[in-house]
Amino acid sequence: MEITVRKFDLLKELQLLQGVVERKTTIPILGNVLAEAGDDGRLRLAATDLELALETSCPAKVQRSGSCAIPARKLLDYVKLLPDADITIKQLENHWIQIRCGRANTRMVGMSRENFPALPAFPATPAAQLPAAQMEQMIRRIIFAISNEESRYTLNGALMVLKPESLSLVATDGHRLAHILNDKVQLQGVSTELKCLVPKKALNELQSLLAEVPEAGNIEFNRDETHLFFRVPTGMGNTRLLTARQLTGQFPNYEAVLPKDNQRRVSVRSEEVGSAIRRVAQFADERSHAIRMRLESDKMVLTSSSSDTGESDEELDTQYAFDPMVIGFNSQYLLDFLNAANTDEILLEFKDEQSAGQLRPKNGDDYQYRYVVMPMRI
Amino acid sequence: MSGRKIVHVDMDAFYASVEQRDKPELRGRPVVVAWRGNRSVVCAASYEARRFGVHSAMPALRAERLCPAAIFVPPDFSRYRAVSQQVREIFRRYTDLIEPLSLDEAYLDVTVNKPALETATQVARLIRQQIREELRLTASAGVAPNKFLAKIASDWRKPDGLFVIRPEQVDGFLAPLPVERLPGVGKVTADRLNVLGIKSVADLRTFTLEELEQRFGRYGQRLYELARGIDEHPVTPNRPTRSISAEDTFPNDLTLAELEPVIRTLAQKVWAAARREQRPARTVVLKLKTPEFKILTRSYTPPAPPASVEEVIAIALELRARVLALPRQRYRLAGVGLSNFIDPNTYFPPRLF
Repeated sequence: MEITVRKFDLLKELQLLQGVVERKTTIPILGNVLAEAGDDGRLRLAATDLELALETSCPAKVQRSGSCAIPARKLLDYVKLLPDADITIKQLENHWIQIRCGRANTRMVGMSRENFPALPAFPATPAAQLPAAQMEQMIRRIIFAISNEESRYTLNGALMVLKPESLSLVATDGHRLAHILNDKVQLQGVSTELKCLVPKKALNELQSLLAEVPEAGNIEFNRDETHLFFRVPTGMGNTRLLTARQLTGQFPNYEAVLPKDNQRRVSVRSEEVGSAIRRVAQFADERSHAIRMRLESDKMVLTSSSSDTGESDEELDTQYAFDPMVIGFNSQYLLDFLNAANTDEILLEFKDEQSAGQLRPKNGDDYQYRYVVMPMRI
Repeated sequence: MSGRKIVHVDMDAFYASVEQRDKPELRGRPVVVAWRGNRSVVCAASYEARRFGVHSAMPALRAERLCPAAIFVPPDFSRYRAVSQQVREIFRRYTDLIEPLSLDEAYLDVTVNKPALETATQVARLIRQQIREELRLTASAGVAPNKFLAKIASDWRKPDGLFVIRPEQVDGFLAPLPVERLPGVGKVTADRLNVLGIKSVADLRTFTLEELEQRFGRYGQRLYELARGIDEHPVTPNRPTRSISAEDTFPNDLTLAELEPVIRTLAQKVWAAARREQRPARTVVLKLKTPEFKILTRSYTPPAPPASVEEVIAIALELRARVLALPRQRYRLAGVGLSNFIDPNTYFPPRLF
């Protein structure tokens, strides 16, 4: 293989691929990108960690077709440092790779491409069309609530529910839950309800890919028995393919925990309450991040105390006309929502000190978005 | 760090003594604190029971065989913790530099003490007296210029004894001691030392620092210092437990398959030790060492902290299954640990589902 690519084109793809490459893999080939050049004037690149795979490409002058496996991290770090010019990549004997750019000349140790795992192919069945911009927004608002706890395997992804006229995502770590529904869409290629669990890493990568989709573009979604496929258009008229192994197992019955009679309501300006929480949380217990929220006639008081650092309180004026109450929260859980919601004003709805609270943006948009969070015992 | 005055206080047969204090019918009788059960181990044994050879960490069934007359009492850790707090209150009259090792023993740095007593011996004497008068329990104490000597000293006149090692007595005291008395010298190190003709601390002193480092790596330096009564480790108060573990080096290397009974025993030991903690541990760790001294660890954090020794055993065995190795691969050491001690009620909100 011998090809010439523009640095900018190659770097862009390598950065996307790096999100898939496993950092601490025990299988050496998985630390590599697979590079393949055909006669179509494109350099195809792929990376996988066996759970997730990304296949992408960039325009290239192909002098000689062929393929090789190149250590991903090293290649990315090196290409980053190269001047903004054409890069020539040439396969030498014994899996050596030569990289030239301007006066820089490097020989890298590659690996045999034979060991690179075969990647699943996009199914031939009709694909669903999902609106890219909305998907991106929705993922951003729920992804933070996905559990990192490996033991709760089914919570390591978000539940995606597709219906002909709605699209929803649910994520939870067992202590809090983010739910977003868009029922102002028409999903082509979706005839019945379709549910699947999308792993967190796949959603992260998908977000990066979605950011490049031209306005009002759609992505193609498909699945087979084991994998989920997202074909994402780029601004350059071609596509990238993200393949994720489906998480199997039962997602918890989240509908049962969505609060139905949280009568005590209060609305606050996001920025104001966010700043106050951040300040007060400085003096919360370092591990629990617990703060108290006291609601009384027309005010909200946030307090914290820690035996190590001190105590703090802050009062916010707000309209509140229900019975007073004091409820404890992990301040980080509240901030996570405020960051993700990115809205002027939020509505907090409570039942009592022990029941889950619900937070949502006060002024709706196309989405029905809510965040359910368990209070802490205080 | 020179000129320190360290006291090590060790409650005598603590859990068993608390039981005997609170239940007069148990006094003077062999008492074994342990759960009933095939796989349970002894948490504590009264001195009456120890006479029959019963000791803590021994399988309860074996204790029963050794001493059929023993009265078995299920442990009540919340009561032991409360008493331990009272003991600590007494310590606090003298110093805030208290490093508890468990519910029943602690190091105190009394170089500077609150009542400004002249000697650490006076402090130790008063502490023992107050524990006896106020709590009706006995404690043994050791006084020395550092932690490791203080600990050896507290064991010297146990039970209900006080032993003092003055700085000028350190050399003479240590010389005849068998090397096994030094902290960190277990059976395996002792065997390796014996091969070199080292039986006593005096023998150990004939070796240079270089010779010991060559044979024992970093631990060589520690051995060299211990043999000379040097131990600069400070008394560290309020050190929260980060992990508890039990490990065992085998006389002959074992395969993964042969490890099962070892893992069970270690899990029981570590579970018994973890019961003394206020907070539950969330993570179970399995550690293995190959004959080449390569260390492998596998850990697992279940959604809820393991609630029984059976759960710890099941997880540890599960972790063993996660070790990918050739069937012939052998191991020289196995360890089971618990870590990540947190109070789930304080640190996490309750679950939604």
